[in-house]
Amino acid sequence: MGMVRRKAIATGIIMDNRALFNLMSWMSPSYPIGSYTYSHGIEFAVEEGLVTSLNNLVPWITDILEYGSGKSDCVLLAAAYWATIDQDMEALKEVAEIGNAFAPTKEIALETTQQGRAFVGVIGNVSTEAKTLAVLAEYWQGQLIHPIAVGIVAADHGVPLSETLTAYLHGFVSNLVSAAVRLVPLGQTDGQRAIAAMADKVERITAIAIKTPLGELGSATLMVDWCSASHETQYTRLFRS
Amino acid sequence: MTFENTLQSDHAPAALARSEGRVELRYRVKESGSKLAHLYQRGCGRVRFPTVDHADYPEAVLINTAGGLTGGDHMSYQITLDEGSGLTISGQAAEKIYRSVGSMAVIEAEIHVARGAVLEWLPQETILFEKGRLRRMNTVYLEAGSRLIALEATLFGRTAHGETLRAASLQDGWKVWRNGKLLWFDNFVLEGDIHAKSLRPAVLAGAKGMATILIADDQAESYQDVARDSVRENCVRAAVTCRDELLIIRVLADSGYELRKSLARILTRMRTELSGHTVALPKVWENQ
Repeated sequence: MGMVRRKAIATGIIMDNRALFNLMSWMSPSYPIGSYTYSHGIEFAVEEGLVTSLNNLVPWITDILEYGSGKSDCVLLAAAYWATIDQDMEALKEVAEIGNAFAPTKEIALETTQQGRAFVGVIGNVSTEAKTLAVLAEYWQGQLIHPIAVGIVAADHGVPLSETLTAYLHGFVSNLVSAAVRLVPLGQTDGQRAIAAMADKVERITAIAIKTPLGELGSATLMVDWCSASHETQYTRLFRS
Repeated sequence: MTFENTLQSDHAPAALARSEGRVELRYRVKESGSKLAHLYQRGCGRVRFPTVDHADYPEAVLINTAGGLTGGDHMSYQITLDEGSGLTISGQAAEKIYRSVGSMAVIEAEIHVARGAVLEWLPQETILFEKGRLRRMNTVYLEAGSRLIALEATLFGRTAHGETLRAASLQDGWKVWRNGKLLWFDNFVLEGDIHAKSLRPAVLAGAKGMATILIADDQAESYQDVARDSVRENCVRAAVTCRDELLIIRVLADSGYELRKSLARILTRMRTELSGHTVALPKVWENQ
């Protein structure tokens, strides 16, 4: 693919239905990367009484989007996306290295690296277009976290960045809500209310993340980190994070 | 001392004279133990070397002679421990980040710990004042077989005064490399109405202070159970996790007093566990 066409796709000038179709597959809950086994600390938050209803689930997930992994995953995804478009393997290696190191706890690292590994595995078996993953393997032998793998694959498949981020966050939010629906428990309709309540936040975080350089990667959700680290010793656990 | 006066005044100076400081320390093993091999002090960066009895390593106490930092100020530390050496670093006083009219105060530490060396990085807490702006990054380079115990503690406002931060900025980060591999990258970023944001349930849930204790060791994970015990003894929110050769203890507290008390307990317990015998905390930690 030529550089001009790559740039045109990345900035959303070209978006075809085939790209949309691919994106929907990758972010579908049925894509076999085991997302349903991770709760991102929500299992402990429920145990601790921090998440007990739709009313406190929505602010909890909002914080994760605005101050936590929602935003930081998007910054990493976008950095991986642009490095792939530019075919800059040194830059991509740096993104991979930082992404891997940025997980605040053991279980959040597991959550994002295991999904990344599974995503790369499935893509390798299904698509012939994800060429950059093989090239990167010569520069980076470590694990790829999920948003970075998605960023690389989306760029290779000609899916625009903004749509990729929106779909990624939709998948991320849906997974958190699904965990809460099972754990609290909440009704399916309340689950959909929680997802719907995130639409404008996702739009805003996507716009912010596109403009945030990797050097400004950050997070402030220490309560999520606390829940995630505490989850490591939680007595009864359904989830791996 | 001047910083005492400043701390007690209700209105911190808007702009101190712009200050810059640097301290470089290098320790290596000579005949009778870990010895100072290089010392460089510049600007407001100073260091003193108290006589310590019954300690495992010599101690260096970092001093900011400016009494605090404001926008545009820059403090940097370079600490190098050669093979087999040991050093405990503490701070003379809490680091105060005063009101800034625009730019950030910057604190940077570059820490190298060689094989068989042990560094304890135990500064006192940093207090972010209203309209204070701080960017801090500690970059650590570890060799296999080295050990690091490191702490950074931050208070959001002078909690004893009931100060809340409505317009302040904090970027507080770590980069920990071990044998060329980036083990952990952390960057806590909270800006603007920190008070309102700190009340958010998944952010700080109202905590007024936070601290990170890192223990890097080839066998880091084997200290996890003791670390968990040590945090359970405290009433603050604290938890332990381990990423490869790095044990991470995070502490959230409702006041500076509570944070300090918890940290002293956790550090005492962990230092005892790591060294195999009871080691007193640096005097600056005890005399509060």
